[in-house]
Amino acid sequence: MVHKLWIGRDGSGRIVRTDQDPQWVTPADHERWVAAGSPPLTGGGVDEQEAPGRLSFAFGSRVLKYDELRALPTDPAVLAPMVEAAAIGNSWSAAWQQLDLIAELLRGAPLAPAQSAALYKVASALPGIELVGPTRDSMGRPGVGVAVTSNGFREELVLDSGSGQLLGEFQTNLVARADLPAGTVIESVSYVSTGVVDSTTQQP
Amino acid sequence: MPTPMHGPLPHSTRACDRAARCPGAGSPRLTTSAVAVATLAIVLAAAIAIGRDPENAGAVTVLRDAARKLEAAPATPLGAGQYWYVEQRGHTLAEEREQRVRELRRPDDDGAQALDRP
Repeated sequence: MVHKLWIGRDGSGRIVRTDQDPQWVTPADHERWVAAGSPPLTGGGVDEQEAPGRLSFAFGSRVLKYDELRALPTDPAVLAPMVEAAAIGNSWSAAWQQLDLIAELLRGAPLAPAQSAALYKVASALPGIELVGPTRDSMGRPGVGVAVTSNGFREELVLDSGSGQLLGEFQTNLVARADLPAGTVIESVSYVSTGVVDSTTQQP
Repeated sequence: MPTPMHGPLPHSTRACDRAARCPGAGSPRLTTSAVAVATLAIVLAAAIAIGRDPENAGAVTVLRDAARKLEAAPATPLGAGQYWYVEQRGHTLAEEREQRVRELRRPDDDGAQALDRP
C-alpha cells in the first residue's frame, strides 16, 4: 500500500491510497483464499480531495487542528501527561498506546523541531521501552530500533541514526499462536517523504 | 548510565592500610559499608536521572540522541495555502485477518474487555 496525504492549515487536502499485491501471512491463508474462489483482494485504492475542516492530525483518542498541533508544549514534563491522557485505552499497555501516538505524530504532522524532540524524550521515559538495536525498515534503510511489548506483540520504531528522523514502524507477533506464527510482522510502514508543498498535486 | 567501578577506591582498605593515614576514613568494616552505600547511591541516582531501569538505558540513549538531532533540524511551518505532504509505504493485515489478531490480543482472563473502548 502506498499512502499519500496532503493536509493544509484549514484541514483541506487530498488523500491518495494505492493498493498493491497482497502478501500472505501463512500458506494456510493462501489456501483459504484459493478455496474461496480467489476473490479480488484489492479495491484499487482511492484519490479524494477533502474540503476545509475534513482533515486533522491524530493525537491518540483526539484529533488536533493545525493551530492546536503547533501549540503542543515542547517541555517533555508538560507534554508527557498530555500524551498519557490522549492515548487510547484498551487491552494494549499504556506504553504501547503512547508510543503509537508519538509515532503517528512524528510521521504525519508538521511539528516544530522542539516538539518532535520533546516527543522522543517522552518516549524515552515510557515504561518498558527497550533497545532493539541496529535494524532496517521495511524499505531496507538502516536504522536503530526501539520498542515496547504488549500482549506478546512488539511495537518497534526504526530511527535514522544520522538524522534522528523516524524511518518506519513494525508491529510483530512474538509468540507462537494457533493461527499466527511467532515472528510474523502484522504491520510495517516506511515513511518515504514529508515536507511542505504549495498544492495537492505537488510533492517535495 | 551507571559507570562500573574498577580498581582500588580512594578510601578502600587496600589504599589505606591504616585508618589514621586516611582522614575521614573509619574502620575497614565501616569503610566497606560506606563504599557499598555510595555505590548503591550512584546506581540509584543514575537510574533516576535517566528515569528508567538501567537495562533500558540503551533505548533512552538512542531516543535522547535522536531528540538532540531533531532539535537542530530546520523548522517547517505551514503557510496559508500550503500543504503538509506525507508519503508512506507498507502493509497491514486484511480486515478479516486483522479481526483475528484483535481477538488474539484480548487478555485470556477477560475476553469481554473491549479492545478499543473509548
